[in-house]
Amino acid sequence: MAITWGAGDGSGYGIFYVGIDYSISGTSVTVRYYVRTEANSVNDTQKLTFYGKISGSKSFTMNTPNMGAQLVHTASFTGSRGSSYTVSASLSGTYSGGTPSHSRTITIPAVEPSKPGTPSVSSITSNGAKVTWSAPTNNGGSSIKRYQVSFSESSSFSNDDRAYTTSRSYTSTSRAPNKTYWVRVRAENGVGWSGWSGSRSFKTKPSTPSAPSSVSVSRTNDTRQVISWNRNNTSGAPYDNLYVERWDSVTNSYSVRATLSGSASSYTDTGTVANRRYRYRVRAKNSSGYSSYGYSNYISTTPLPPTNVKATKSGGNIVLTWSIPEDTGGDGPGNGIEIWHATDGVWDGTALAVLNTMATTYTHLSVNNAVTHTYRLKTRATKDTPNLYSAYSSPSNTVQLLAPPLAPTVISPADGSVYADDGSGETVVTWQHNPVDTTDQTKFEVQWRANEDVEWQTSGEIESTESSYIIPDLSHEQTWVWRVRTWGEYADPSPFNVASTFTVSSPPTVDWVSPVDEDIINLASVTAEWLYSDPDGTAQTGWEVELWQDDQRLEHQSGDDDSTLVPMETQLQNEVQYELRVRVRDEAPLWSDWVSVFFTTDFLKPAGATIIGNYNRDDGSMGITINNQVVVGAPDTVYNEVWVSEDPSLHTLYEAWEEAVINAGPTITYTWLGTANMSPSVETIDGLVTRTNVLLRPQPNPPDGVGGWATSNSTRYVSSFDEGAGPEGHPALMVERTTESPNNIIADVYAIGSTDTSTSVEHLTEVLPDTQYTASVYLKSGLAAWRSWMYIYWYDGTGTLISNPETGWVDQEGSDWTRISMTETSPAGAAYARLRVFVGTTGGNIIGGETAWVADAQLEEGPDVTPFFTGDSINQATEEVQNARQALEAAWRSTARLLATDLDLNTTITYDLPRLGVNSYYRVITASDLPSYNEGAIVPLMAGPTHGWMFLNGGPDFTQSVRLRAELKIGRTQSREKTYNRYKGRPKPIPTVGEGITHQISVSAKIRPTNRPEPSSSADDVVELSLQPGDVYMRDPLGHKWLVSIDQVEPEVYGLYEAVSFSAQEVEG
Amino acid sequence: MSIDPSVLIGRRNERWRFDLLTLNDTYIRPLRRVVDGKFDFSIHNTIRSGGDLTCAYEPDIDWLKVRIQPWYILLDDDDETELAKWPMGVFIPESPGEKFSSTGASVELQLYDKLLLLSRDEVESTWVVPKGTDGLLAVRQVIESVTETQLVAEDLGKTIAGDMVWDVGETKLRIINDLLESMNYFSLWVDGYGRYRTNPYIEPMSRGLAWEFVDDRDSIYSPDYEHKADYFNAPNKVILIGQAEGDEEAPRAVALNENPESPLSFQNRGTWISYTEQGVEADSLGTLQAIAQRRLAEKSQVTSSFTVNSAHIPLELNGLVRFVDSEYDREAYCVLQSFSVNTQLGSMMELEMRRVVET
Repeated sequence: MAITWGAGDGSGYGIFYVGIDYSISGTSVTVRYYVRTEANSVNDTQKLTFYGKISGSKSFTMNTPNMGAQLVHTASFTGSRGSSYTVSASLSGTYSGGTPSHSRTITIPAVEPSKPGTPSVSSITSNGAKVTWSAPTNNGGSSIKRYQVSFSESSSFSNDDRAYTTSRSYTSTSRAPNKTYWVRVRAENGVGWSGWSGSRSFKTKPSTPSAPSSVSVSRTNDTRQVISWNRNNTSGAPYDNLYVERWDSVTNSYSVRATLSGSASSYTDTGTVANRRYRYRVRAKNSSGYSSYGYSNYISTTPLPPTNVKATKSGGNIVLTWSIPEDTGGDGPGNGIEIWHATDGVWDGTALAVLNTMATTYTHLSVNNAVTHTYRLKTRATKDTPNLYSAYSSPSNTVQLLAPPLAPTVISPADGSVYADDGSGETVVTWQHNPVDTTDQTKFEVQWRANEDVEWQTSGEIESTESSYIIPDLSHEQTWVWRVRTWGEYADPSPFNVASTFTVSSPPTVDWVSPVDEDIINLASVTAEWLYSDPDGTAQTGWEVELWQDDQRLEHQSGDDDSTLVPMETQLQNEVQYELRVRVRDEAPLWSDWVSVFFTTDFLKPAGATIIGNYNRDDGSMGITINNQVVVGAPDTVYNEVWVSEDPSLHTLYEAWEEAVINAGPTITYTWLGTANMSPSVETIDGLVTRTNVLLRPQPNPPDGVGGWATSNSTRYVSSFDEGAGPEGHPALMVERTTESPNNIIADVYAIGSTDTSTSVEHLTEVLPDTQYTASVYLKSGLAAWRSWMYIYWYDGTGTLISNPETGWVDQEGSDWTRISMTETSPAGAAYARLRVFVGTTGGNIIGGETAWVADAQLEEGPDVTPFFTGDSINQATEEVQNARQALEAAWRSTARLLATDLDLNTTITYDLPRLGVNSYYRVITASDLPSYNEGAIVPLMAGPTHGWMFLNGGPDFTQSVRLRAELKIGRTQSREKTYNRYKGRPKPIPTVGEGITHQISVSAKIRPTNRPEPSSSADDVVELSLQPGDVYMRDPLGHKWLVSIDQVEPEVYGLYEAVSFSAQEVEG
Repeated sequence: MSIDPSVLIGRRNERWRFDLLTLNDTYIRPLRRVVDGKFDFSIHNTIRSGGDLTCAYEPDIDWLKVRIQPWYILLDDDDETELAKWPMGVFIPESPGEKFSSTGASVELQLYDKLLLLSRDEVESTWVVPKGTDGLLAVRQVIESVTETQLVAEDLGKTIAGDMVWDVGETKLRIINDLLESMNYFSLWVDGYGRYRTNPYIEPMSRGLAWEFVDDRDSIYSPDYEHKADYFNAPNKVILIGQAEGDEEAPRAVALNENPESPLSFQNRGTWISYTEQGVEADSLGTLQAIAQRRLAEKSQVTSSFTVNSAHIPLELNGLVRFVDSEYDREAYCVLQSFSVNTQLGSMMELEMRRVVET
C-alpha cells in the first residue's frame, strides 16, 4: 500500500508529519510507521508513540530532512477476515514542538466460506427425505447467507435438482419412489459460494403396493383349489410378498393360507375339505406396507348328504324327514335337496323332487299304495360354480304301504308266567304292535282258551289303538293260553303271535299275630309271627321279614319255607317305635303285599356304663375302660358290650350334633329368686357362644344349713352354657366357682334347673308321702378324679324341712358324663322335695376355677317316671338337636360293629386296630338277662396324638404290630373296574362298570434303630409280618385303615440307616 | 321283573350273581367267589344251553345235589338298586374238575341245562306211544319220568297220528322231540327258570319281534360284524315222505318256493333244487305239509346269516329280531340261532342270526 500521511504539525520549517503504510498477507498485517519533516536538517531525538491495534512507542533520531520519509517502525498483527483495525501514531520530541499524528484503518478482506459438512439423510419417504448438514467450518469472514442443496440420480450430479435454503436442513418431497439419489450442499456468503460438500446417497422408499386384481379360484377337486391373480406391481411400488388368505363357511373368518414371493401369480390350496364353502383374497406387501385385498369368487366343495332319512306314512302320503349334517346348510355349500325314489326297490331315473332350500322334510303326496317306497337324498350345492351334489344318503326305511303288521310282541302275561289277579278274576293282557308300514295299530283281536281246550275264545275285532285287553273270568285252577293279532291301516291283520301259556293266581295274604299293631314290648327283642293265607289254597313257600326304625331298615330275614315265627336278631332300644314288615309267597309263586305292624319298646334298662379311652402309641392300640354304674331298682347288669363305628361320616354328623346343641339348643332360663343383691353379666367364650352369668353373692345363711354356700369370699356362676351336650343330647347346666371353697366343694348345684335357694314351696316339687322316689342326674367334671354327692330334702306342706337328707357319694374318674342315682322313700307328711347335688374332689385339695356340669336331673316316683323338672326344663331338646341326634344315631347304627361282648363289669379291654389320629365312635351297652339293654352315649375317642406313626397289624387276631415313622411315605392308586364298548351308529363308547375296585398302596420308611429314642420296628419285623399267611391291617397317621395283602417287602441299607419299602393291595376281609 | 328297554341301551353298572339251587330248583344260597363263566345257547346243540364256570373250591358243596342259576343284573348308578335282571338258566354242574395250587383250590364246572336229564336217560325197553295219544300228555309223561314236572306248552289238543315206537336205549329227549315234531311243535328247550318249554311251530315272521338291532342312537351292536350269504345249495323244493300204514301209500308233502320276492325261488333261479326226507312222522297230512313248509323255510334261512356282537340283553333262541346297518344298506329280519355270554365285565354277547327268507 502507499504511505498515507497525517497532517503536519510544528512551526516554520519544523513541520513534521507521521505516515503509515501497511501490507496484508492472508490475515497477517504488517504496519510500517514513517515520519518526515520539511526541515532541511534535523538531527534530534524524537519519540513515536503507537496506539490502536498496535501500541507502544519508539524513540529515534530524525535524520532525514526535506520531506524524506524515514521508516521508524514496523509491526505486525494477525486479524480476522472481514475485520477492520485502526492503527495510530503520534510524534513527540520534535524541536519545533510539533506533535503530528496519523491514524489509518486497515481492513482484512473476506473470502468464500469453506464447504459445509457432508449431509445426512433421514426420514426417507417414498417421495423424499430430510437432509441435514453442518455449517462450514469457516464462513470466510462473511456470514453465510444461504445454502444450496443438490439432488441427483447420478453420483456425478449430472442433471441435478437444486434447491436453496437458509437453514441447515432441507426436506425434499419431490423425489421419485424407490430410487437412489445422491445429495450434496454448498454455502454462500458475501463473497461467494463455497465448494460442494461431500455427497450422500439414499434410496427413497417404495410406494404402498397396489392390490392384485382379477383374483379367481378354480376347483380341481374337494382338496385342491387353484387361485390366480394379476400382479399390479411397479418399480416404485414393487411386491415383496403376496399373502393368500382363505375364508371358510365353518369358521366364517379369513386366515392366511400362504405367504408367497412377490413374483407369484397363483397358488394351489390342497388343504380344503368336503362340505365347505371357500373364498380367497390376496394382498401384496412391500417395505411400505400392505396393499388392499383382491377378492376371489366363492367356491364350494362337495356337500355331505342328508342323514337319518326316515319315511313315515301319513294317510295316503309319505312324509320324509331327514337331518342336515352339521356345516352343510347355512353358510355351508348346500342350498338344496334332491329327493330320489325307488319303487319296489328299483330307483327312478330322475329325481322325484328338487328342493331349493335346505328343508328337512318333504311329503310325497298320493303315493301308490300297491308298491314299496324307498327314498334317498342328495344335497345340492349350486351357490357357486361348478355346481356340486353330494353322494346319496343312506336309503330310508322302506315304506310298505298298507302291509300287514308283524306278529305282536307279548308283554304280559309272558309265556310260562303266573298272572297275579287282584281278586276280580280279570286278566290284563298287553302286547306291542309291530308295524312294517309305520302305521299305528287300528284294531286288535285277542284270543284265549284253556290249554287243554281246542276252541279259542275271542275278544272279536276291536277297533282300538290300545295295546291291552282285559280277559274276564279266568279260573285259577287252569292253565290258559292267549294270543293276539293286530291291524294297521292295511286290511289284513298280522299273524297271531306265538301263543303264551300262563296261569292265574291270587297273591297270598298275611296278617300279624305278634306283635300286634301299637303293641308295647317289655323286652329288647322281638319275634315276628304271622298268619299266612292264600285264596288259591296253596301253601306258603317263602317269606321276608324286615325291621325298620323310621326310614331305616335295621334287619332283613327271608326264607324259602313255611315258617311263620321268626325271632329278630336286632337289639331293640328302649322307648322307641319300630315297624315290622312281612310278606309271604305262595306256590304260584306270587308274593303278598308287605304288611306292617308298629310297636314300641318299654322295658327296664340295666344301669348304664361309661367308657374311658387310653391310647397306647407303642402299639397303636386303644385301651377302653368300662365303668358300670349302679342304679337301685334297675335290672342287674350281667355283661357289657362295646361297639365301635369307625366310619368317617360320623365325624361330620357328630360335629353337626354338637353344633346343633350349641347353636340350636333350647333356651333355658334359670331364674334367680333369692336375695336381690346379684348382678347378671354376659360374656363370650371362645368367640362361640354367649353365656349369661348370674353372680351369686355370698349367702350368710344357707337355707338348710347343709353344704358349703356360706363362705364370705366364695362366688359362684351359674350359666346355660354347655361345654358339650349332656349324654342324652340336652344342654347341660354348668356351674363353676372362681374362688376356693374351704369345705372342698367345687360346685354346688342347688335345685337344679332353677338355682333357687329359697324354700318357698312353689320352687319345690310336689311329692307324695310314704312313696319311693328315685333321683338321678348326669354329672361331669373337669377333674380327672372327683366325687359327687346327692341329697333329697323333704318338706312338709308349709315348706318346712322335715327330714335330714341321707348322704352318700360316688367317686368318679375321667371327664365323661356319669349318671348317679339314689332311691328314698318320702317320709310321712312329705309334700315337697328338693334335689341337691354337689361335685367336689376326692381329697382335700381344691383347684380354684374348676367347673362341673349337670344334666337330666330327675326325680322319679317309683317305676313311673315323674320328671322332677317339667316344662321348660333341661330335658327339652329342640327339633334341630333331635334331628341331628337321630342322624348321628342312624349313621352309627348302620356302621357300628361289635368290638367285644360278654364283658365283665368294670373291666378294661384293648382294641388293637383303631383308626389313628381321628375319632372313632364307641358305645358301651349294658345287658340284663330280661333281656334288656342300656345303650351308653356315643363317645368319640381318638387314637392319638399319633406323632406320625403308622402301624401294621397282622398275625393271630392282628395282635402282632410293627410301627414306622421316619421319612414315612405312602403312595396310593385306586381304580374301579370299567370297560368301554363301541356300538355302530354311536360315536362315543358306552361304559360298563363293575364292582371291582383296585387299591394299590406303596410304603417306604426309614428304620429308627433301637438305640435311639422312640425306635421304630425293624425291617425284619416288617418282613416277618409280611410272611404271615393272613392279611394285615395298615393304619396310617391320617386316620386311614385298610386290610391289605402285602406283596413284597424290600429292606435296604443306606449308610448307617436301614430302610424298608413294600407294596400292598387292599383286600376284602 | 319286566325290563325297561332304556336300561339296556345306555351305560351299565353290571353284576353277576350265581344262586345255588336244590335239585327241586329251590334256592339254597349264593355261590360265592366265582372267577369266570361263559354260557352258550344254540339250536344246533342237543343240550341247547350250557357253559363253563370256574369258582373257588367250597368243600361243603356236593355238586351232585345242586344246580346253579346265574343272574345278570343291571344296577342303578346312584343307589345301586336293581334296574333289571334275568337268569341265564338253571344248570346242572357236571363232573367238576378241581385245581389245587399253593394259593388255593378252584373248581371248574361244565354246565348243562335240564335237557341233559332227558338226553342221558335212555329207555330200558321199547317205548311205545299208541296212535291217538294226547301228544303233549305223552311228552309230559316222559318229562315226569326223570322226576321233572314243569312243562310250559300251548296245548293244541293234538294226538299222535300213528303208533310211535322207540327202541331200547333211545334217549328220552329224542323221544320227546320226535313227538313234538310229529305235532309240528318246536323242539324242547329249557328257559332261564328251569322250566321245560315248547310251543307249536310258527313261521319266523309270525313271531313277535324280540329286539331291533338298528345302528341309530340306541344301537347296541358292535360295528364289527360278519354277514355270510350262500344261496348256492339252498333248496327251493322240499319233499317229505311220511310213514306208510299198512298197504297204504306213504303220505307225501311238497313245499315249493315260488315267491318272486325270494331270490331262491324258482322264478328267480329258473331251476328246482330239491331236498327230500323220508319216513317223516306226522299226525296228519296237514302236519306233514306244515313240516315241509317249515323245512323249506329252515333250509332257506341257513343261507344268509349275521354274526353280531351286542350288549347283553335278554333273548331266546328262535326269537325274531331285526337287523339294520344303514351305512352298508343291510336290513333283515332274522331268527336267533345261537348266542353266547361270558361274565367278564362289559363282555358283549355273540349272536348268530339267520336271515328270514320268506317262502
